[in-house]
Amino acid sequence: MLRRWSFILKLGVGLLLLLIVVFPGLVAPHDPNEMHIEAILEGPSWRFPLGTDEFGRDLLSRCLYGARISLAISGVAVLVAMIIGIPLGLVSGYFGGPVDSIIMRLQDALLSFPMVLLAILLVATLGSSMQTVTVAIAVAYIPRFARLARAGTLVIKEQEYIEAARAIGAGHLRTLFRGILPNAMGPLIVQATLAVAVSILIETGLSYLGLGVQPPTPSWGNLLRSAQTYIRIAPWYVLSPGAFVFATVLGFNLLGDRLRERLDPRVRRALD
Amino acid sequence: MARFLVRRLVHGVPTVLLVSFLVFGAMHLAPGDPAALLMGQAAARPENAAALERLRAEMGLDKPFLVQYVTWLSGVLRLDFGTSNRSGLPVLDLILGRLPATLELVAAAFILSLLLAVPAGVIAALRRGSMFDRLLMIFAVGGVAVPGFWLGMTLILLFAVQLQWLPSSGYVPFFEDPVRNLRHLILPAVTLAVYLLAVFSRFLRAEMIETLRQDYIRTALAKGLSMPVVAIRHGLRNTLTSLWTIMGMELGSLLGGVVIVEQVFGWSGIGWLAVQAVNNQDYPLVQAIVLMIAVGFTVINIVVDIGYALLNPRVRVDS
Repeated sequence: MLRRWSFILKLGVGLLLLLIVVFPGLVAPHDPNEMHIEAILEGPSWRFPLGTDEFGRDLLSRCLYGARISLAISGVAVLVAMIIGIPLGLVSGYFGGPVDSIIMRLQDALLSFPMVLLAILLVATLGSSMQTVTVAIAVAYIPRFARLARAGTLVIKEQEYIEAARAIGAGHLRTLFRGILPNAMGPLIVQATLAVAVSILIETGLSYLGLGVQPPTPSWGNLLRSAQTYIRIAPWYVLSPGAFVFATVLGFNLLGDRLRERLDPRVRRALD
Repeated sequence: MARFLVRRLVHGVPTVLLVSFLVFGAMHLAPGDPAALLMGQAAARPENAAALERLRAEMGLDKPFLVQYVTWLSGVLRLDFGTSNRSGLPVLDLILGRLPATLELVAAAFILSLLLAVPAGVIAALRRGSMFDRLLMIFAVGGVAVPGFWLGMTLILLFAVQLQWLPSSGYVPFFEDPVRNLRHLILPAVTLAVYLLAVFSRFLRAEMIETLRQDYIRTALAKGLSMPVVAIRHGLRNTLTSLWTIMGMELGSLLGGVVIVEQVFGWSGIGWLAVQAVNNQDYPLVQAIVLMIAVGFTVINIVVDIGYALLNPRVRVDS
């Protein structure tokens, strides 16, 4: 009974989040850029549940619209990283030899950069924008997906059903994408979920530094950047966007942990 | 052991070279002409076109990309990272001036997290299912989800604004005023330590639980030793070797977190310097900072691997 209610609650929260991302206007009480001059830096009230910022803009609305930006950037970045990283890992693990060495050397080099630093390097090169942050996060995650796909491929390619498929004439591409990839997807999906969580933190961090999403586009990071200036007179300004980030990242982490229990064969074996 | 060492070091060299190539390549793509930046507004005047071309030739900017890379790399190997576009000072001097602050912050966060994580992980493993264990797990899950800069601002709100116990920002060199240095260090170090504490304590707990299931632990207990003694004297030693590897891996996250936390607390380290450099389009400085940190991280990973081989003989024998 408890597990059923827990599942319903999680599903409900997930659907609400999806609603917020796709249709923030349905949930937000005000336009995020509408200025209420009479209510500058006002505390939480019935009219403005989370208070207002230095331009009198409703913080709840800005946080909700900011969710769309942060989640969109993170989602697209992780998707791009998977599209590029997974085939690289599959090819590397399947063919081995010099192909494996070259691909993994490049991945090792990319993994040598702490993620935020890699993002800073790319921002310095390409300029501060949503697109740059998306590219930076994607580039940081490509080697992670490549390594995980490679690890799965090394195990799966030794299985008898792969040997059988090759024996009856399956080509390399078919073996890779019809034989190996579906069986390696479990840990990759787990990684993707956890990657979205980390990507949200990186995006908000970059926007906080002024290197990501630029105002007036609301993003959790640039909201916190502005909030710090008014920390002594408007503490709610600091607490609200951060709470949104925390709750979202926590949700994705818990989802990732739960998926790991179901999809990662090593964890499933340990739990059984 | 020597063969393992050589192999590990040899493996690291191409990685470091590739890192340097990526950093140089990325900066090469950055907008703007370094020669024009150096010349300033005079570069825009048509009558200075020939002078600009001469300056570009002097700086080697007319050479092929690979030649420029090799020239730059040979400079880096002589510790010549060029001069700052903004201040004209040698980049290395600017970085070395800020490095002690970052090293102090990173070291403080690491030490603080380990001092708390080790006993917490052991106690949680020994008292599995207890209130302490449950609270630790809640903390571990929450600790990795909380954005570091938000945590930092919340700590400033509580301890600097409300309670006024600690300063909200700034950095004072240790040898200038140790007491003020430590007062400024507390909040940023705690901010960074929370994430590490969450990761290390959760890992240690899981490893200790696994270790305590081993036969040699059962044997030690059968010989009459108490569980806490067995856990610390036998279990913890083996667990710490695995923690060593995790520490190396988390250093990357820490270096990223340092950049942001230094900004929150106005802690004048190299992270703070990197952000200023990006905002000022000071490409030589950005290039040097990113390169030094990336190479440093690679070297640390090599040290961690070697250290793990020293702690765990099976690693070097299997290799």
